[in-house]
Amino acid sequence: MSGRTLTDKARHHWGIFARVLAAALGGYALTTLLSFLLLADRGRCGMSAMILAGIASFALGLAAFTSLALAMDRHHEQMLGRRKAPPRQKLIFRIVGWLLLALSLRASILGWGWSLGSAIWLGLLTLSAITLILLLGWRPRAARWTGIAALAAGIILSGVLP
Amino acid sequence: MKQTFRQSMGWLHTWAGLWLGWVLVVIFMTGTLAVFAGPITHWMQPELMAHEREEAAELAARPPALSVGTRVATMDQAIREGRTWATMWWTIELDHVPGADRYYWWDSNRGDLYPNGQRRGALGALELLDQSTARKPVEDDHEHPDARDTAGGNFFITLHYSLTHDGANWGFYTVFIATIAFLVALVSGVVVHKKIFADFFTFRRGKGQRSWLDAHNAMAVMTLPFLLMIGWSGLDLLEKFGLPTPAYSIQQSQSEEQQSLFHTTGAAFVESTTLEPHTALAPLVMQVESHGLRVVGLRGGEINTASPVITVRAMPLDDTRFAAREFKFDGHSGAFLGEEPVTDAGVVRNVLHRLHEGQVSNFGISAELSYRWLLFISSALGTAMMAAGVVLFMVKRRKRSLNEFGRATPYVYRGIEALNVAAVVGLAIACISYLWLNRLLPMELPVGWDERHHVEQDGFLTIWIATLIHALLRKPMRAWVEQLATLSLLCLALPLVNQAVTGEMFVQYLIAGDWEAAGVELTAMVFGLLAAFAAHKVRARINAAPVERRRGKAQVSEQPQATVAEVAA
Repeated sequence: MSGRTLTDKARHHWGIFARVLAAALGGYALTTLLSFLLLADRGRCGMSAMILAGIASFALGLAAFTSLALAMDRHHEQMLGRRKAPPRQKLIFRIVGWLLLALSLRASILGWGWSLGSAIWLGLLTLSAITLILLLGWRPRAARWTGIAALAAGIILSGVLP
Repeated sequence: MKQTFRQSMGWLHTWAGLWLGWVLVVIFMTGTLAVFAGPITHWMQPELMAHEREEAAELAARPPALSVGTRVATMDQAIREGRTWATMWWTIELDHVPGADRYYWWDSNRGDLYPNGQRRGALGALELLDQSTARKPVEDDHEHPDARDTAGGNFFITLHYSLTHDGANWGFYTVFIATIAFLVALVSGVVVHKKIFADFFTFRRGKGQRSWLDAHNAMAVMTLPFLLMIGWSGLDLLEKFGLPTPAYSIQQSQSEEQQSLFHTTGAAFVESTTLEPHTALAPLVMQVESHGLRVVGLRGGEINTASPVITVRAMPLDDTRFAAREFKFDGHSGAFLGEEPVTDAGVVRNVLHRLHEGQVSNFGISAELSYRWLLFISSALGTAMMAAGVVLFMVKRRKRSLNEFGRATPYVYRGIEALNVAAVVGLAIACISYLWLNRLLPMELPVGWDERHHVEQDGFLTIWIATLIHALLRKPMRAWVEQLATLSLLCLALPLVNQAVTGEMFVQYLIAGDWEAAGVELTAMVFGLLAAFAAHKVRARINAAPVERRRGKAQVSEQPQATVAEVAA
């Protein structure tokens, strides 16, 4: 353990979160703006909109489950190699996780409507969760990077959805 | 009696799961294949593929569709010319297939005679109408090549809900009971799984029984919404086998004349030649469409009575619902009689049935495809989950027999081992062999043989029984390896046998843009790879030195007692 106090570490981790969050929101805003300007038929419920919605929903689901797993001691150690996360960090991981699940549901509803979108969301969550379980079982250290990549992909693609 | 509630639920989960687990594996595996029964049937009739490709090309080149009113008026005329006064009902389906509408009617002057002298009736005609030309499609004039006689993917559907090829009653009842056991096992499993949230993402590999339990739990929890939906909706689809009394008692309480209505409505018919044809249909369609709805079909009912009724089915334009709304009109005057009341139970039933069968095409073809793929993956995971369950049962008892059956225990265990292999891998071998038989059997069978599609199905059953016999004769682990290896070979070689017999495989299908047929072969190959991987793992386990096997045993006994009690039967 280095000479840093617990508060310093918490601030350090929160700082990382704040940066990631800012980047995600910035990316979302940017892609939304660009898609308004560049995509003429934004909002049609065609095949490509469904593919985008599906990938976005799956990616956000994967990011959500990664975040929720990071709040659990066993998986936190698997992914980050450190023993335990401090309680405040766990809380942040959980809040972010549930928020990302909500965004995942939103992406699915944008792609397929309320009724079918809810049903498909549950199916996509199955895929996201299975992906994370397989990663944790075979490549736990990689799970952290796939989580970040999934978060980025999900947020950016959501910006293109109507 | 078990000491705690959780132990009781554990006992219930284990035994309901085991005895009906094999039936449920059959239901789930055939159900997984049934999701894509259409593409499978398409793959199994290669003679029609070139024809269908031409049709698809022609469809793309067609001018836009005529208005609904024009098309309905044309079909109306055809139905009148088909002597509707001799029918019981007629039906018009708009957008039945891409670019075409369909109409057909029931002709009560045809068909077999009932004992009371009434005719059963038969389909009077079944016609497609091209939406762009309001005429019968030109390809009706083409020479249809004779496709090979096969039941196609529908065989898997029938197996799925009735365990037989022809929908025998005993099969329906067995599936119903198995579905109840499935829901019981599901709920009891959730109750027993104390650490369902803590172990949400847990999968510890290489730890023998612990790994099997983790896999079983993980696959069940990940697909939990799907499993609940499919079990509950499956039960509702089989309602008349679970609750036969209401329909039966209604039937019994009616007079003989009324009872004959169940077989034919001849007794209630007005003399056919005095009837007038029904009112014009196009104005009814316009009336419904003026309310911002999209008409999807029409039906003329009770035609041979004094008060025929025309029902117009319509969907909202800006919203997609699971069920169409039905508007009733008087058959003679065209007066609006009212909308068919929709009960809440009816809505729930409709949603459940469509979710179960993947009938969500009113949301669009792409949407239905997305949903069906998710059904397929979830269903495959569910099958694997139950396979892991029955395997887990024996993995636990291989190390130390629990003597549940007294002196007969070793023999019962041996039987369970064999049934495990045959129900999981044997069934899969039978399924892929069904596709092989479709290619290998000649188009015309020699005289004296049964019909070709029966031979395909009998071949399926014969091969499945053979896998059971193999599993009984070989040692359990060896049986797993050999059958998994066989499955792998059959799946991976499917495109090769296709190439050898028809000259085409998935490569040519992809080039031609036939994703359905290519998908069948590619999916089979993916399962072949998974089977090869599994065969490799089991063989490695067999070859593991005795020392390591003892070490595995020690790991099991080191586990905390609470966990063992959790798993206790």
